[in-house]
Amino acid sequence: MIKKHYKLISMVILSSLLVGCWDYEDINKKNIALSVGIDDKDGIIQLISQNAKLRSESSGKGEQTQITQDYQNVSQGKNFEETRGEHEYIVPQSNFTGAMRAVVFSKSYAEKGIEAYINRINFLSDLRKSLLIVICNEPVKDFLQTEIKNDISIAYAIEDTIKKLAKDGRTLFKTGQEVQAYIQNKDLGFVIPYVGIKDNAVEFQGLAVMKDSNMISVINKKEIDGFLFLMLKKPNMNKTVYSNGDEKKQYSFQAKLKKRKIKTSYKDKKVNIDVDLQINFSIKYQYKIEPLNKNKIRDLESEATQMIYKEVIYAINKSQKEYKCDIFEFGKYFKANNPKDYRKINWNEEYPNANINVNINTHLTDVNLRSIE
Amino acid sequence: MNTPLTNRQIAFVVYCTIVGFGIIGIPRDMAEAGGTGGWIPVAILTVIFMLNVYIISYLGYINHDKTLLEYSERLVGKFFTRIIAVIYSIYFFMYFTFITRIYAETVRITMLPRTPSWVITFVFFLLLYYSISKGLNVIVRVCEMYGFINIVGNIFMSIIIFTQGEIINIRPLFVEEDLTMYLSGTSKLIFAFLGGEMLFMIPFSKEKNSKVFKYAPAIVGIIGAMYILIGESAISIGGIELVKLYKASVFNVVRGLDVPYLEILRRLDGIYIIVWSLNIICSLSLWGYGVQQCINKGMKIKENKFILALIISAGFITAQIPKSTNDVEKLLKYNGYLGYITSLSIPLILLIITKVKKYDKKAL
Repeated sequence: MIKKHYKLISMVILSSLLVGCWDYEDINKKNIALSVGIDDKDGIIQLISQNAKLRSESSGKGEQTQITQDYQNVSQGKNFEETRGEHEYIVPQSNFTGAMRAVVFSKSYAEKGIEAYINRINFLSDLRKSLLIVICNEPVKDFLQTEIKNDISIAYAIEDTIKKLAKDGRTLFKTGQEVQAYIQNKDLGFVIPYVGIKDNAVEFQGLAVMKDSNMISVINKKEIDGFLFLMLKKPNMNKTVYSNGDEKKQYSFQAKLKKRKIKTSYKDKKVNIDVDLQINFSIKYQYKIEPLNKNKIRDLESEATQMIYKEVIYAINKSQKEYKCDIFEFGKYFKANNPKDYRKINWNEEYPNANINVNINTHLTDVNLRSIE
Repeated sequence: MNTPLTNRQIAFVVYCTIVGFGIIGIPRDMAEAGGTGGWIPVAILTVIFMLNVYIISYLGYINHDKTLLEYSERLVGKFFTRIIAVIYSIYFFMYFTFITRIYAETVRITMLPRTPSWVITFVFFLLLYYSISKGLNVIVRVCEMYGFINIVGNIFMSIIIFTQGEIINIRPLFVEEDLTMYLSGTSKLIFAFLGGEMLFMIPFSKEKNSKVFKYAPAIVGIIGAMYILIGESAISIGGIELVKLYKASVFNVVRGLDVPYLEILRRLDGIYIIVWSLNIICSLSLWGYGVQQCINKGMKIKENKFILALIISAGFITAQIPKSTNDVEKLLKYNGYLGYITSLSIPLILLIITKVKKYDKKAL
C-alpha cells in the first residue's frame, strides 16, 4: 500500500518537473515567421519579417481561419542585434521560426557580404539551417509585399519555385548550411538562386555569383545551361537544334547529364583540369515532320554536342576571366587528386590561368517512339 | 544475486559504455586529428582498443566470478587494491557526473533553451537511480535493447547523411606526408574509445563466457567501423571546414539537412536526439554502476539503496559545480587523461603480473 503511494507521489513530482514546461508555449502566443528578408539602406540593416496571420476572421457564416494572410514587420539598425531588438519592441508574441521557408537577401546587401547572417542562421538554434537562401533583384520590402497569384504566400512561392526547378535539374537549392560550408572553404566561389517578380509571381532569374560571401555578378537564366552542366548532379535541358543550320528544320531534344568526370593534374607549374561530360541525348519531336534516319540522327547529335560544348566553354571562360573564382568546385578535385601540390599553391591565384579541357560524349537513348527509316 | 551475463550482453556493455557522449563530436575530432584522413587514427585506435578489451576480458575470465577489486588483492596486494579502487571510483564518478551535465547542457542549447540545465540533470539522475537500483542484469538488458536500436539508428542515419553528401568532400583519404599527424592525432580521439574498462566491474562466468574474447574485441571493431561511417558521412556534407566549426558536429550537420524523400521523417535531428539519448541513458547507467561497484567492493560493504542514493545525490551536486560548459569539457578532458591509466596502464600491469606469476595457468 505504501509502495503504491510512493509511486503516486513520485509520479506527481516528476510530472511537475517535466522539462518541456519551460519551453512550452501555445501556438496562439507565437509569431509564426514565414520568411525573412535582409536589405541594406545606406549602411543600415533592414530586416523584413513576413509573418502568418492566424487570427480567425468572422465572415457572417461562422468563423474561418485564414492561413493565407500574412503581414510584414520592418525593423532596422546598425547590426542584427539592434535590428532584432527593434523588431521585439513591436511584436507582441514570441517568435517561432520553425515554419520559415526562405531567407531573402537584397542585391545591395549581398554585394556587401552575406556571411554575418549566414552564421546567424547556422549558430542560432531557433533558425533552421536547412532554410533556402535566395537573392532578389529589387528592394526586399517591395519584393516580400507582392501579392502572389499562384501560391499561398510569397515565402511558399519562393521555396516551391526553386524546389521544383532543382528537382527538374534546372537550378540549385542552396541551404544555410551549404552556403556556410562554401564560405568556410576559402578556395571556392559559389552560386545562389537569383529571383524577382514577374506578373505577381516569383520568377527565377538566374544565379548570383558569390565570392568570399559577396555577390559579384549574376548569371542570366538564358545563359545558365553551360554552368548547370558543370554544377548540378542531374541537369536536364530541353533544347532546340537546327538541322544543318536550317532554321526551318528544328528538332526538340533533351540532354541529361549521365556522368561527370573531373581529372586534375599539376604539370610545369600549371593546373590542368580535364572535364569529361557524358550526356544522354534524346530527340523529342520535329517541328516539321520529315524522314528520320540514322545518319540524320548522328548529325543532330553532333550539332547538339557542339552546342553544349560551346555553352560549357562559355561558362568556364566566364568563371576564369570575369569572375576569377572557381564556382565549379574544381578546387576540391584538385585537392583530392594532388594533395601535395595543393598545399604548395594558392588555388585562387592559379585557377584563372588553369588549362581546362572539356570533352563531351553524347549517347542517344531514344527518339521518343518516332519510327526511323 | 545477479545471473551471469551472456557473451552478447557483455559485448553490449562494451558498446554502450564506449559509445556515449563522445560519438556526437566524432566528425570534428576526426577532422582535427587527421583532416580528410581522419579515419586512419580511428582505425589505429580501434586496433589498440580491441587489444585492450581483449586483455581486460582475459583478466576477467581467468579470475571468473570476481570483479577487479576482488581479484586484484591477489595480484597486487591490499594497499594497491585500495589505490586502484580510489582511482576507478574517481574516474567513473567524473564521467557519471559530468557526462550527465554536458548532456543536459547540449539538450538545453540545442532543444530546450529556456529549461535550466539543473532540471534536466535532476530528472536524468532520478532515472539513473531507478535503473542502477535494479541491478546489473536489468541495466544490461536495457543496454541490449537500446544498444541495438542505437547501432541500427546510427547506421541508418549515416547512410541517409551520405545520400545528401558528396564523396569529393571526404577525399583525399590518405596523404603520405601526414603520417605523423595521423599518429599524433590519435590522442585527440582517445576519449571516444574509453569505457572498455567497465568490464573490470563485471564478473565473468567460466562456463558461459568462454567465447568472450571474440565478442568483446569484435564489438570494438564494430564501434570503430561505425565511428568511421558516422565521421565520413558528416564530413561528406560540407567538408572538414564545416565540421570543424561545431562541437556537437553530428547533431549540427544533421540539423542542416532536410531529406525530402523521407516525408514525415525528413527532419533528422529529432530522430537523432532520440537515438543518441537512448545511448546516453545506457552509458550513464553503466558509469553509475561502476561507481557503485567501486565503492561497495572497495569499502567491502553490501549493496544497498542508501549508498546508491548518496552516490546519485553527490553526482547531482557535483554536476552543478562547474559554472560553464567549457569547464565541464575541461574536466572531461582531464578525466580522459586518467583514462590512460585506467584503460591502458592498469590492465597491462595486471596482465604482466598475471603472466609473470603464472596465475592464468593455475586458474584455468
